[in-house]
Amino acid sequence: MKECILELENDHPKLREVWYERTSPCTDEYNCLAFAAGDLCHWWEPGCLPPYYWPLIQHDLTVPSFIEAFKTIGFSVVPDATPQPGMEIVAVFVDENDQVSHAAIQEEDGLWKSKCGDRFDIRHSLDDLNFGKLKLFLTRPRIIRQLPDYDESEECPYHLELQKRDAGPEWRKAEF
Amino acid sequence: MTAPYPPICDVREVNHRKYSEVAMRLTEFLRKGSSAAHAERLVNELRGRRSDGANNSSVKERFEHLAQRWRTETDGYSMVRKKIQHHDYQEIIGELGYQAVPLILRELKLRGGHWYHALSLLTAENPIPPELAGDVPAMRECWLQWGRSRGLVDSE
Repeated sequence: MKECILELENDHPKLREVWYERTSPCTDEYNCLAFAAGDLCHWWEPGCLPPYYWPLIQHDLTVPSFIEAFKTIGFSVVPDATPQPGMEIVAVFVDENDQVSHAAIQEEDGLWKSKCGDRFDIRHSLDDLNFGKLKLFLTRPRIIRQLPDYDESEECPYHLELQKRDAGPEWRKAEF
Repeated sequence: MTAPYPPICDVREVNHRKYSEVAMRLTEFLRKGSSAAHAERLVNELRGRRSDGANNSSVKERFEHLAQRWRTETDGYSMVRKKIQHHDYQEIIGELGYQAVPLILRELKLRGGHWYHALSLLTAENPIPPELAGDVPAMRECWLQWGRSRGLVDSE
């Protein structure tokens, strides 16, 4: 099994027992918040140095601040995740400090999609991931996401590099 | 004459300080946009301490070990703020110091990764213009260009 999948399942052990599907290559170019926002060209995160992308001047990940940020791209709060025709729903998770820790987007069939850190996107059920406590849902008219092509038979470039690195001193000597 | 900025830290104490404390003060310093001369003095002093340490080969091996473990253990984190709190990332900044900069740039070139915080702390610079915030390939290129202009990254 591919190393990145093993690592994902170590972080989210429930995925070993349930169905889920990988849907993209590994990339550090966007995170779950950007993915939920529909922006695959930026990493969305407030309060970093140097800064990453965030739509507001106020930089924090409290729930009210997060709602304000997502309001700027058309989202509003809804009480539950009942699918509505033509609408998309984002599920927002928080950590033990009530800071936003993850966001997942609902597909039209009711399943969810998440970008998992620097790894890949997966289709999954809402309670399969270990990203924190489900806090609220946001909705807006559905947009079309241009997802990167993914060939399951291809190895991630990053993990190929690691394999080379682990191959031993010959590669190391040649490389340095 | 009174110094225009309070000292970030007494460099004589650095060896006894934990990384997080020094990093916090550097972070605050960078955020305030304090004078470049002050930043340079601090960084040079920290460089001096660090260059007393291990030779280049062991620094490289240590960096590779820490960087690989950091990646494996934090790849799944959705937030950079959590990735950079990892002990290996902190050790690269706090223990390897400026000697790690060429190694970080090489790692960035080969495998990417969220090294921008470490690079800013270690060099007291930020070559990423505000309009490129969050555009990760562009952020990477800004730092690689910064490294090339200083001979720290291969130009090919």
